[in-house]
Amino acid sequence: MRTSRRTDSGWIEADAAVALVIIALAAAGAAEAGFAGARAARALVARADTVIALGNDHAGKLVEAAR
Amino acid sequence: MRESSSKPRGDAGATFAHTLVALAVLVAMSAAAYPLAASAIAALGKAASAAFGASRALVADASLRALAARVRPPFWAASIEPANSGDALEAPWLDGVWEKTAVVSWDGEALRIGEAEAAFRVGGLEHVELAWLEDGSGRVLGFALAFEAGGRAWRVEAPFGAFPRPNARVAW
Repeated sequence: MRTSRRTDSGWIEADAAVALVIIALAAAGAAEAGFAGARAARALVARADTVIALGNDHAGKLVEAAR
Repeated sequence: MRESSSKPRGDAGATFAHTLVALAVLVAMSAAAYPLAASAIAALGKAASAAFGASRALVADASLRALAARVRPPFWAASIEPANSGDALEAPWLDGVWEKTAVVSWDGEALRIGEAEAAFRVGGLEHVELAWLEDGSGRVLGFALAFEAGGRAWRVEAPFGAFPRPNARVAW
């Protein structure tokens, strides 16, 4: 059972609405994917910063002990 | 067979009007979504650059620490006599052998970390500065490396695997 009326040219209001929703979801999905990638990259930078800072801290303690 | 319509206009007119409305809605949604998409693309590009820089920093960090850990003077060595020839740092006692030299050099394009004959190259770095890691009294205890990658500054301090003893009787 259809909820919308079909015209002579085949245009269906529900189909148009569905198409718009799909386009909106695709745009939102692409944006979300971009922001998710940015978040992952920031996490990688933060992790690299932590790893290198830990190594430098260890080096500092070794140098301090060698004095 | 034609379906009945509750609107006074004909089906063809209603279809055209619907098309115009749908196009208007589509244009409005596109205009609203453009700034979001543009900011997402810009954020992704900036984050990708930062991620590449962090990856290169991690590679340089791991390579430099692995090389420095291989510099192991014997317990009776009083000091490490490093050589600084321009943009290269050279330290003896690689793998505990006086004749083997650990080399860290920068040729303007790539950072070379390794032995004199076989070095690992790390590219994509900028404003590279090489220095010795010292204890404040001039005693060399490792490598220090500062550079920029991915739009931010990094610094790596890599101590040698063993330190010479200042009070050792035999000086090398």
